[in-house]
Amino acid sequence: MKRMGILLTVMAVVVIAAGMAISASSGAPGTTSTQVVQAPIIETFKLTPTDGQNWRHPAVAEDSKGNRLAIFRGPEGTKYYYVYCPKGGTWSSPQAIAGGNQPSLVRSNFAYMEVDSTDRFHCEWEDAGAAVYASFKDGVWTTPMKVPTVGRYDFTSALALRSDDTVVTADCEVQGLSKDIWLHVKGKNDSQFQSPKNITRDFAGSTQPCIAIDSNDNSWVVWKSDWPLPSDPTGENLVIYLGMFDKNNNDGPIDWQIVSYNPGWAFLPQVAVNTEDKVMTLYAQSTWGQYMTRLFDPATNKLGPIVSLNIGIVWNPWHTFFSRLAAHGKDFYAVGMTPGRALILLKFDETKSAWTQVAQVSDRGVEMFHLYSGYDRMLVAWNSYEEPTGVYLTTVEVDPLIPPTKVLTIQTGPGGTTVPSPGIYTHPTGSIVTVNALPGFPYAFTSWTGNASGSVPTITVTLDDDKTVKANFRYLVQPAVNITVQRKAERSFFNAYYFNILSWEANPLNTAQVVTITAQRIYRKLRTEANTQWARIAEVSPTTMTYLDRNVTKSTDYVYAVSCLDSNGNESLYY
Amino acid sequence: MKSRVTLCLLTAFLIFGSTMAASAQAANEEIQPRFRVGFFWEGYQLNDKNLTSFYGRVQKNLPGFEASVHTLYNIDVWAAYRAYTDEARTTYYNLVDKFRLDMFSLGAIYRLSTGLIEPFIGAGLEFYSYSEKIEGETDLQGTSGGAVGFHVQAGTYINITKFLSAKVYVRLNDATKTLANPLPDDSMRLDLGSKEFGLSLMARF
Repeated sequence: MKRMGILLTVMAVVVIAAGMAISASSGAPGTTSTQVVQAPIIETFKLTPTDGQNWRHPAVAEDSKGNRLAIFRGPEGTKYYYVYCPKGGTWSSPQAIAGGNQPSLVRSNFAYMEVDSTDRFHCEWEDAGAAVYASFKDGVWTTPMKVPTVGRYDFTSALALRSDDTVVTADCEVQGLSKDIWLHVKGKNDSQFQSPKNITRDFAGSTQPCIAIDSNDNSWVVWKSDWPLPSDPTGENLVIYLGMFDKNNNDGPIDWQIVSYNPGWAFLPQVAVNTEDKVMTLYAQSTWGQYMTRLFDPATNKLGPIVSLNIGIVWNPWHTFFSRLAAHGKDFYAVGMTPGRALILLKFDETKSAWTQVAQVSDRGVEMFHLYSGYDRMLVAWNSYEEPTGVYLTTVEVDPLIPPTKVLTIQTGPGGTTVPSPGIYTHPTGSIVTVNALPGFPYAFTSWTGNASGSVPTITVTLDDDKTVKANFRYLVQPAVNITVQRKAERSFFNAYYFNILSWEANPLNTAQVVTITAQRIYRKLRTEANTQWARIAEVSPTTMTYLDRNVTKSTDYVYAVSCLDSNGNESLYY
Repeated sequence: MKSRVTLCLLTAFLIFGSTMAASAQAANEEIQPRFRVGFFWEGYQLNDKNLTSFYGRVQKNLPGFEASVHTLYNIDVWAAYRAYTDEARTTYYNLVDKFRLDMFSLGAIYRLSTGLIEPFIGAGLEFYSYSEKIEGETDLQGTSGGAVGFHVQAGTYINITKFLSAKVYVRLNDATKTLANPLPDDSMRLDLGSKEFGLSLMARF
């Protein structure tokens, strides 16, 4: 705190000079714009009761179905609370996360939240001793746990998700005189975080990390670092680093670079990666009294110009250096606070290299806030500045995202197909897809396996997650073929009886399928009778290919069929 | 059927009348050999197409016995016996199928006494007993039964000596029987009628 106070004092001096230098310096921020586009729909929800108590430091997120979860620090200051709103529903009343079974907070400043591919909300909020992590799905919280640290936890931590729903958090830990950024990884099915990894071992004084993950699951981390001034190595130079860390190399560094002015003082960076894997950084450039941003395109390995949000920094107290950044599809949105403590939502126009104000989010002074990209809304959770403080959610209409998708893999066993055909399909999350199993000849549909079950050929699959369904078919043992009937009589002069001699051949389909035939059944009906009148008259061994039907009369016309039974007792059709 | 009954009654009447008359006149006539007893060898032809086709034989030569006794007015009471047997195989299992027909004839004949040659005509009743037996294990049942019919015949005696006579004849028999089960041609009527022609050799006394 003491160091921060010194910094703020120095910044107050520096910013005056810097503000004058912006217009003259060739290193000035890029072009900015204040043009207001057509007013979007803005809705604000009060998430906490008006009970005269202080609710603070929220985060919010929305799952693929449009359900929303918000968390915030409770009035007692030692626990985090949550409220939940199903899509189209109303917000619940605040309840302590996990029934209050959570590490007791020493101090909190902000929280993060992300939603994984299964619509599980992953939450992290800050404690003075560590970051606290918990997840929520279907109304159930996991027990909050402190993300384990190697050194002493320092200010700020951030959370992001890989495509396989692995949780990655970045925090600052202090060991002796060294401050470093550490990554913490928790696999989807892990109950605990793995051993943390120091990713800034070569940098001194690295703090205030933020993390985002690209489509290759590599981590992009920004942090503030002390960097010696070339002209005065003893002076403080606080710059923002952007580093990329390779998931496939144990999060080893691929590249890093300074994105803020150098020399200069910058604080509390944010980072976001859009669907084109472009990386946006946002930080408070106290030297210029502005929130600055800078776009990096890994495809070209080029940093764009430094672009200001064009809103001033609130100087007192220090924590108004905070800003928030989020990618929304290929767009970037940022929330910053004006000197008058109004929250402004801005959108980056890459073609103009400028930020455009989208909306003023708050209707009163704001202390802390969080920005999340919903399907067709940017969600800004914030708490008011004046005590008693309440938590609010303001949603701002934006272009809808390309709907999040899930993969439906349709497979079949031998003997049939499906409609749609077997293959891999991508559908919007939550889609209900009808799949119909179509057995080929001579097969019958038996069951669905994978993420479906039952023996009804037509199923509906709700794609709330990637799913695989497999239609299974059973070979239908086939009846004997080429049945011939010979009418014969055994007669003396005065008496006679008649019989039919049947002969048949094994069905070549059964032979080809290597089906074990255990018996053959002989059926008979009068030619004039309906198919419901078939009567079984005998069962013979599988090797028998003839049968003598003794019980016939001379002038009656009979029809015969021979069915086969397989080793599972399944009998073929016979007519 | 009615005509057959009438014929039977007429034949019985003739035989009865002839016998009574013979006994009345016997004392007044010259003593002539009254009895003829002998055997014959004849060609026997069944009328029934079912029988001939099933057993495969149109004609069979049969031995037989006959006897007659003179009554009066050149009328003799005549009787004969012969048995027809045949054998075939059942149609599918090829079992031996034996058929037997025992025939007993009783009738009257009228002779023209011209000395050496005595042509005659006659009529009478036929009493038949038939049976069929299958050899081996089979579901087929054996069958037996009887029938009554009539015959007419004609021929001539050739008196070789006073005590030895030969005879040639032709005889037509008619006897039918309605059966419970159909015959091979699906007919329910068994025709036991036949044609006989043969030669007899008889002792006279």
